Amino acid sequence: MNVQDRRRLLGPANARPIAFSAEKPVVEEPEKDQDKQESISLRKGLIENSNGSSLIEVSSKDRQFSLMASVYGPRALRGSFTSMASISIQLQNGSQEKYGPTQLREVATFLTSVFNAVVNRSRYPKSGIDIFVYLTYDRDLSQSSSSNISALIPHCITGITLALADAGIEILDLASGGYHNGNVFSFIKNGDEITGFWKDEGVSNDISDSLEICRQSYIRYKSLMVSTLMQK
Amino acid sequence: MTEVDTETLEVHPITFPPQVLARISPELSLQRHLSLGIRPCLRKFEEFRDVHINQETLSRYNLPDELLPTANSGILGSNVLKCGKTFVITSITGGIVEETLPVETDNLGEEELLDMSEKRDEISKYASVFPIVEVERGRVGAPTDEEMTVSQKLHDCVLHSGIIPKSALNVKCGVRTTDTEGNKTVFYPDEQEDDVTLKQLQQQKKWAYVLYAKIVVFSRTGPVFDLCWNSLIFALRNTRLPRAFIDERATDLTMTVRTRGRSATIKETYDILCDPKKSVQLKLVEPKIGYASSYGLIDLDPEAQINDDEDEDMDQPSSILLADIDTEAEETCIHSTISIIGDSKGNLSNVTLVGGGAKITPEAIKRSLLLSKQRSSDLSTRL
Amino acid sequence: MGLSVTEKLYLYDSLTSNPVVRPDGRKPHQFRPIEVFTDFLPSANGSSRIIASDGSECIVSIKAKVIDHTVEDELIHVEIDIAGQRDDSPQVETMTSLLNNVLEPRGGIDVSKLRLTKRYSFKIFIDVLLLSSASHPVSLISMAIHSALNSTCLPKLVSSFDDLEVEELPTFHDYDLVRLELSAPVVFVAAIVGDSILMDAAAAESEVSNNGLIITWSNGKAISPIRTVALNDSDVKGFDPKILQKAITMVEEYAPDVLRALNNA
Repeated sequence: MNVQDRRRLLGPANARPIAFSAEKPVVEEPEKDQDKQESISLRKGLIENSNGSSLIEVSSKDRQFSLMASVYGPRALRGSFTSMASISIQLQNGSQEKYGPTQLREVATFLTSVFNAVVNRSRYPKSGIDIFVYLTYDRDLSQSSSSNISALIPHCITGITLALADAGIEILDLASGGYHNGNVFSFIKNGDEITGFWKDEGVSNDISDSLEICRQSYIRYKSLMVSTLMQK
Repeated sequence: MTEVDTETLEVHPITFPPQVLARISPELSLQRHLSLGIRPCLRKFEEFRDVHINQETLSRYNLPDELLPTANSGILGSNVLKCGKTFVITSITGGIVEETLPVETDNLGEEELLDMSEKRDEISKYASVFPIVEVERGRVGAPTDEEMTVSQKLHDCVLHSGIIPKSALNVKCGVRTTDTEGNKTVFYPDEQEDDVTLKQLQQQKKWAYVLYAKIVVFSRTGPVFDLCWNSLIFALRNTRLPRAFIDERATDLTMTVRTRGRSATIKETYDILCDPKKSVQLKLVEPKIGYASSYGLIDLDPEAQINDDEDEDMDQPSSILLADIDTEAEETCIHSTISIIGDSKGNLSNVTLVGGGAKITPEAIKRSLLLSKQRSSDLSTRL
Repeated sequence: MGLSVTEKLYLYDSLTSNPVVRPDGRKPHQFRPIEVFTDFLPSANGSSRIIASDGSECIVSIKAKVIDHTVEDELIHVEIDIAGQRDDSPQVETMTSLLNNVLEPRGGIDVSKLRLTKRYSFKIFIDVLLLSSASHPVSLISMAIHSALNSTCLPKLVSSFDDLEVEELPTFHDYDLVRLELSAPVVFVAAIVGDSILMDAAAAESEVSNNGLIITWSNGKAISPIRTVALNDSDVKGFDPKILQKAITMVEEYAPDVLRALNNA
């Protein structure tokens, strides 16, 4: 199992990563009004060698992050006939190795199931659509540095949708989502349908409260996407 | 029989829009462009792409001061370089390695001997970074040949150009003491020379920083080595090394150690820690810093020329020097390349000539050296 | 063995009709019988083997180790092995990440039971081997973990609890074991077909479902993680927001019965 990687320059084997004597962050109350002062900017088509791509930059009072989504495909799939396109989504850590690989994989699987319901896959038989999401940077400005990946999911969904639209791949509707109190909803069809739900923290009784708030942010992201797509 | 044929034969010239021709026959498209005095990317022959850089945005030292104590980001320096449509994100991270040096000896003769042998070995005075280049092209899996060769070349060029002296990476270790009330203070011996008691705390071990660079290339449109090199140099120039200290008592810590691209958690007893706030600038040997640029030579194909007027221009050159190779057409059709790393004064640290197509003439080399000087002086003013 | 288009349509229609008609005649919330064997591995502190009626089978073993919890704060660690799948395959990694999340201390599990002294704790290693599964295996795995933890006995501590002043390592009784009363949350998978919600969906039912919900339940209420999951590759669709609340209510209503049956097994 312990095979040395000969394809990358890994440096001396006995080197240890720099460890900062970071003081344990003070855990603050999770009640945050982050939904209000969040400013978001969308761009599309910046990665030349992909079929479609998008960039999302979000900055709010306590978090700043940016992610890039790129879509490659539809590509021809080798092997036996498939009647629908198969979607694969990869999430990649940016320069900060913030999230563990299994955590990223789980989110990627979740996003895949969301987009299986969003992309008109029967339109692309025998093909594969590869989607890459690169979390360029993610910076917690609040002192409670919880490595919360849930809050990123709505933006991943928005970014992938925008990249799919940029690639000219047929989707049933512009999908996006919202995050509130640890609940993540992904919507299509004006919020009448849920394509995904994700909850990693908290108890179940606050779901219905979050639903409406997430729907509002979905509508907001969707109108942003529309205006991004309409501009030349 | 032949008469029948000539009657029915009609030859229609097939015309393609430029984009289609560029896909079908990149060679022809390139030659046609060149004969008009322009390149497919609409640049002039010796025109470089413009470069935009964004320094330090990802680095931990770019954070507001009050966040530094809790920040767990280990990025010591960073650069985002945008060149044409391609952009490169470089982030420098670090590690600490214990040097297996003989413990401080009083034997002067032995040290002299060591010094002498080291002088002969010039390279051993310098350190390098360990770059991992990732070129995003929508695939997963093992690194491609290009990623491996670019990483290796970056590593070798940093080492041989002698930008980073080993002495710049030595850890000047401090000591953290805990007083009776539980307050922790860190003393750095070089900050307060006069304190005698601290001298005794000087440790016997010696540590050095190791620098890693993660270079991610997005939207690749052409060869990437010079972009990666320039981005790496910009990132190194704003790299800050955190002050390190050891605690009076050894501390246990859990941390992730990357093996084979995956993270595995390994528990180690760790006895050297870094100060979240204090840092020093990485000292590079400024005069040795050079910037990379690349050139290509291509023979003009006389058959592909668009001769609008009566030609027979004998003094028209048979081959053309193109600066800053980009686009698929240029990359696939140009086999003779010149790659130069040098500074604005003309000091060179690396020149690579690859002749596979057009003959590389001394004039072409002279010209590209001159262009490289101009490019370097332009790039060096970007900071 | 995939179903034909006609079979799928027939099944879909019967599952979305009112009342729901399931192929095996079950009610929407009804589970299939399962067989559970516990404490059969002599080398482990606790173990269980669970066999569902469709032949899905899962083995769980629990081992414990004494660690210094001031250094290491992860007290429960789950590792999953799925027969025929690589360790880094998406399914294994997703399942591992999900179950580690289910057993996170902030959720329904009370890790203070693992505390030995002020300095030392037991760390529980849960190894899961999924031998075969016909539908989404997470529910089966979590039930196996639940019953394995219920059957776990750990050595009895004989040294003192307060060891901060006296620097001593915890010592244990030679023979006596103490039952670890650690109630692990159980995960339920609800299949969403049209507007119907089906618990414990069989393979064919999963194949026509439009979406699925993973709901964690502990101590009388649904807790996080809760998430949607695609139960098949071809018919994934969005669903009405009301279904989410309905499914959670259904789990909260019937989970106590399922748990009672599981604990008495």
